[in-house]
Amino acid sequence: MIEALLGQVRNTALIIGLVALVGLLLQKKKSSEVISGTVKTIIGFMIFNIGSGAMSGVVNNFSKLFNLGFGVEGVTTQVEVATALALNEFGTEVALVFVLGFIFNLIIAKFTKFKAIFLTGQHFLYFGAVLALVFIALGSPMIVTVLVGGLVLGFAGAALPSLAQPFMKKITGSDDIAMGHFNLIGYTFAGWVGKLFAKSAEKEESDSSDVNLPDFLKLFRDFVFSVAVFMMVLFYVATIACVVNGHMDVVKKMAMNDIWFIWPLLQGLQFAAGMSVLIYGVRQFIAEITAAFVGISEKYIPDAKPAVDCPAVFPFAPNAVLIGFVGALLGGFLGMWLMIMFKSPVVLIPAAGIAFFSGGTAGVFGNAYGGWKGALVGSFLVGIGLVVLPLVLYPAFAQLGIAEASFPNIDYNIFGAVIYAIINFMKGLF
Amino acid sequence: MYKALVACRAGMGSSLLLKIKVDQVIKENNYPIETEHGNLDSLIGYTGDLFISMEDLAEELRDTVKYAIGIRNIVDKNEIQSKLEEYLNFESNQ
Repeated sequence: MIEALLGQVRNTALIIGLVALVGLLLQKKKSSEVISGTVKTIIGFMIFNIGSGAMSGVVNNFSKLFNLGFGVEGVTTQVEVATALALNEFGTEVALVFVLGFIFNLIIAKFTKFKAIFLTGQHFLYFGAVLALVFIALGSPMIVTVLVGGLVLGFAGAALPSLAQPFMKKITGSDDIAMGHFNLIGYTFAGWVGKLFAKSAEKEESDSSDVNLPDFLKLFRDFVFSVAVFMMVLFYVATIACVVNGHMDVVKKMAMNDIWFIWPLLQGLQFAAGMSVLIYGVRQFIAEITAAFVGISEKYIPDAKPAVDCPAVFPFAPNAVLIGFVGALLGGFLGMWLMIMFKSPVVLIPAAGIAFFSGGTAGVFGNAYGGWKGALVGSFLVGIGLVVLPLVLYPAFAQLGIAEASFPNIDYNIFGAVIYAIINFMKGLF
Repeated sequence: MYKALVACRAGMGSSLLLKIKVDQVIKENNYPIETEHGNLDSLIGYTGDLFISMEDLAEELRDTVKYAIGIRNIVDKNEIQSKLEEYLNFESNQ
């Protein structure tokens, strides 16, 4: 009986449902809304799992092909897949870090001068997964993992947005929103790089909005579409590398028929389909939790500042978003090439979704002072960071079974790597 | 009762907050508007009256929906209120 109950506790969907239930009760919703909200949250999490299953299947195929074709281990920096893998292995720990992170964020915003309330729920979950994995990799007991992980997460949510706030003020022209996307160190850096181009931007009076971008680039503003195209291209590269290196038999076996050249196309689309399902699920289970978080913070911490997801800054410089997307992708490819040149045992491959959202935001930050040059160079450098930084923690995570994908975002990796290094060092002392 | 879709590209963080804020404004002013939340794909076959999004996206989709509202600052309730009023005036003049 107790065994069976503990088994249920490992069920992350139920934990998330419980959080939504508490949130809805705290908001004093009608009982019908409480029931439907809770049930929909649990279903949302299950949909997330179905989507992530579909995506990891495709990522698995891709890594096999890439490894065979190029003779190096290729890992995509797809945060959704990495988080899903982490949730499969350590669902309880990740979910509890996530929940405590929210609570600590509220407490820190209430009592310290760090006033941001981090409202991008899915990003909170990803960072929570990284922190849980770091502590688990260090062999911490569960209570330490959950408490310290939650505290660090809450601190990052409340404090990191203030780094980027001066740039947010310049971009939005007001001081009432903060950036809530864990590349804040990267965005601040991009903004600072943009300042280096401030003189030339003033001289030419060039804002990125004057640059005429080709129409086909605008297609890539559709997130699911650009993910599909990008995965197709990656699949063709890996498949052709296999064929050229004499592994046609493996390709045919994986494609399960002789017209192997259509298969990479379908795999790319399949990946995007999985992504759509996953996003649908995330939307359902994040919705209730975010609403509760907003409700609580507006009531009890009225001077807090909402930290919001990156598309919130896109309207302020739409062209810089696309310049940033291209810049981050180019940076990602350079990073990948560097890893191949220096014979890194694993090669991290940039992901389209990350390049769009994180690169696009880096572009907006770079553009704030530096015009289109600032947008391009800033996002290019951030793009390198997005594929190179995960190298540091990858070996620790791979040991835990999180090997097919990796967490790209800059703040997770810097925080995670620093914590990992400090605790490892302290462990050596005793 | 008018039906509105609040959405952004991926339909996660930013449009969710926008929906929360839009709902607050609607409730405070008793506007006859009901919202749902989604992403770009939710627009396929959407039969509601109104599409609410970030300004850049709303601009792009202006021709494909019945009426689009673009919000520049998603936490600015005054901006949301004045644009919703504009929409309601438009509807009552139809």
